[in-house]
Amino acid sequence: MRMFKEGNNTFITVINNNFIVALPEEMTNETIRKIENMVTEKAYRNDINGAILNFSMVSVMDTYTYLAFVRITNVFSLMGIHTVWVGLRPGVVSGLMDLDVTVNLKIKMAMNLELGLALIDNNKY
Amino acid sequence: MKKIYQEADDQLKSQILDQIPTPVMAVNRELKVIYMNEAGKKLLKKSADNIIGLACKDLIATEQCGTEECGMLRAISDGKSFSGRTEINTGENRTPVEYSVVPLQDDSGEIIGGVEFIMDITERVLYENRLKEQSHTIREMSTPTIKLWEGVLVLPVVGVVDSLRAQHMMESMLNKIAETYSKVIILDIHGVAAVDTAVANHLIKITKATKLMGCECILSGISPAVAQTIIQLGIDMAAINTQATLSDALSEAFIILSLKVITKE
Repeated sequence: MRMFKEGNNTFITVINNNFIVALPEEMTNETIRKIENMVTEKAYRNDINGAILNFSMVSVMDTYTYLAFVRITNVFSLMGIHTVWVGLRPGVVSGLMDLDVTVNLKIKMAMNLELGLALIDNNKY
Repeated sequence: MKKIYQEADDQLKSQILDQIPTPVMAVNRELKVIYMNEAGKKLLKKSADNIIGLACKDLIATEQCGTEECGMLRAISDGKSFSGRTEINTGENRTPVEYSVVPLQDDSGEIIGGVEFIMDITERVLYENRLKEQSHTIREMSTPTIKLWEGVLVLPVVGVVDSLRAQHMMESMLNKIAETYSKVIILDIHGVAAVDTAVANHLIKITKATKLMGCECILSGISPAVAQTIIQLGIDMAAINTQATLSDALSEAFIILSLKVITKE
């Protein structure tokens, strides 16, 4: 298990060739861009086949942030990395629904890390 | 002769004001009380000597007194009538009231103060509070999210689905999912009499919200009539997993959870 700490309190942990990205509470455009670059580069170098984006610390999310992560997920998918979003809070989800975002139903979501890892492992085979 | 008539007329007017069952008060531009009718004296439990000439904020002490929200000040400065709701504090108890203020003009039309009449709305406020409590109770009763199996929740919907109720259903579901880490939620709309475009949109929205939490939503209890309506309205429900009955939905949930029900040998 390796661990990297990047700026803006984003932690990345690697378990069984899966990235676990703990997202910070507040994210700016800059942070999102950094996360994207960091994770794609590391994935390219480290033979990674799954990524878990952990949203459990995020308490507010706007349409822009949501779409940015949808884009990141699509980028990962092109690189052959299965992505699972975990820990979206009920309040965040209600907020997104109020903003009328178009939910991408192809993205896999899970309630917690355990379920998220299980989903990635199912995808592998 | 004219003077006698005038006096009789004035007396009649003051009698009329005194017999109005709600308090009427007049103040001058400095907000000092210049008139209070009998009902007002009764409410304040004070005699005329202890009222006339005092500042009105010392007598009725509402939250707006002495602030810019004072209705009397507004009426005097704008020259327009103003009404609102507040609570007056007479020392011993607080009385919820509705008040109307009109500017008081002299013969030349200049504003010399304001007249305020107050209505006691204690009973109405009680009634409103009771109504609020009841609607809260009904709302709580109408959105029960029940655990049906390990990892399976069910939300039976009975009655009419409007946007407020859909919002509550969504909140109740999302919180329960976060609490129980459920993977499947069954939304049973057997008791919903009519499904139109608005209701269908609410249901689609709820399904998407649960998907964001990593929970699959199965819509069950779709009767032939409802199915026909949905198709006639041209609503695209392809993104939603739909089943005819609750038992079908439960079987589907077992498939999603990789569970199998077998008969005992």
